[in-house]
Amino acid sequence: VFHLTSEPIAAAALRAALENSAAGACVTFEGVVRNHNDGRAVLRLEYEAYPALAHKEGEAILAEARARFRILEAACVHRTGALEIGGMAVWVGVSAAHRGEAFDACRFIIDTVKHRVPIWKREFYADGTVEWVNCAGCAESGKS
Amino acid sequence: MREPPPLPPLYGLVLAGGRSRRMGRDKAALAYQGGVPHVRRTAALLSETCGRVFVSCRADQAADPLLDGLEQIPDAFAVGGPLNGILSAQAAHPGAAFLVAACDLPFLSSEALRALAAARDPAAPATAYENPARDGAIEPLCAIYEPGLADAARTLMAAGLTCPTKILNGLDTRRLAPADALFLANANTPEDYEKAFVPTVTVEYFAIFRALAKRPAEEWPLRESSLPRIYDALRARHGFPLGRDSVHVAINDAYASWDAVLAPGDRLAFIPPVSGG
Repeated sequence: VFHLTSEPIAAAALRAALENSAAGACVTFEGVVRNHNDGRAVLRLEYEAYPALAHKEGEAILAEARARFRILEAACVHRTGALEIGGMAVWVGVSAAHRGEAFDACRFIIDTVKHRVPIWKREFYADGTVEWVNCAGCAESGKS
Repeated sequence: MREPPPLPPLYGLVLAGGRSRRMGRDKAALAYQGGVPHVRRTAALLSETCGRVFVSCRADQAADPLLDGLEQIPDAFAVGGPLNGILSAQAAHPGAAFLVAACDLPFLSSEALRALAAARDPAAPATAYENPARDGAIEPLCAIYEPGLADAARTLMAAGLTCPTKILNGLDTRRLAPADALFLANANTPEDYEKAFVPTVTVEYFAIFRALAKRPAEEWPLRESSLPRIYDALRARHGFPLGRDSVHVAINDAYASWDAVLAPGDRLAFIPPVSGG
């Protein structure tokens, strides 16, 4: 399942939901907020999503992963709203009979989510500027 | 006891002889509902209530394909404006009453015409709505004109009056209030047409687009359904920095291609480069 949440991600509970007695491997990925981007000091960030389309694409990506890789369970949760440095922005978990498929599927899911799901990151920098990431020419003047 | 005189038959008359100067194109040809030119839609509405339906037009409109298959009554008098059409119809069919409707009433409805016909007072020279949008002034362009009106109108005309509102005001017109003021609203300018009658899509904004447009969504008239042209127009309007090559399109919560075709009521979103994860 794919979820958006404005609450801190409860990784342990998500990990528990992947349990499957046929699984020999469980791979999880946690994306966290770092304090720099492109050489600039980042103070915090915000995620905004287009929820209806994000759910649709997120579920489609998980279904594609199940079709491409021999896996048992797959889930992904993405944050919205404000995050501090070190906060968990995204969580992906896959269980499979064997580790290779679990690693590959987990990598496929996070890469495809970053590429396709309509979620946008707005970074607040130490110099007071704010920018929508990946958006050439989208700098905003001053704080907002 | 005298037998009451037979009720004059009620015919319909669509007024389509106007020059549409403010609209800049023929108002009779504009389509509001079902893509049907409004002169034809108005004629169809009148035919629900009236025994025969005619179109009042200028003599030079006789060959207009827009009026194909409709019975025409060309203007026969040397008077300007809608009065000419009404008088010409009464001269052509002296025993009939006419339910007259202008061809620029986009919200005209079967109910409004039925209510007018039901309130008809054949003993009065005319039966007409009071238009709340005009401070209750009589509305001559959605009204019933009895055969007796012609003589009275000629008398008033001889006194210099040609405005149908003033003529109906000067006579003992039977008045009624409309159940809904909207259907008496007319569309005279391109802005009127656009505002009320062009179908729209809802454009939803996210991320940088929401920040720059300063709103989560807006209605956009579907004058043409080309997504690239809509994007370019919104880009110019709101100062979006992104070219089309870095923007994706979603229609009704699903990704779509730039050559997708929009339908009225669709929800459209332009998707700036995503940056999740």
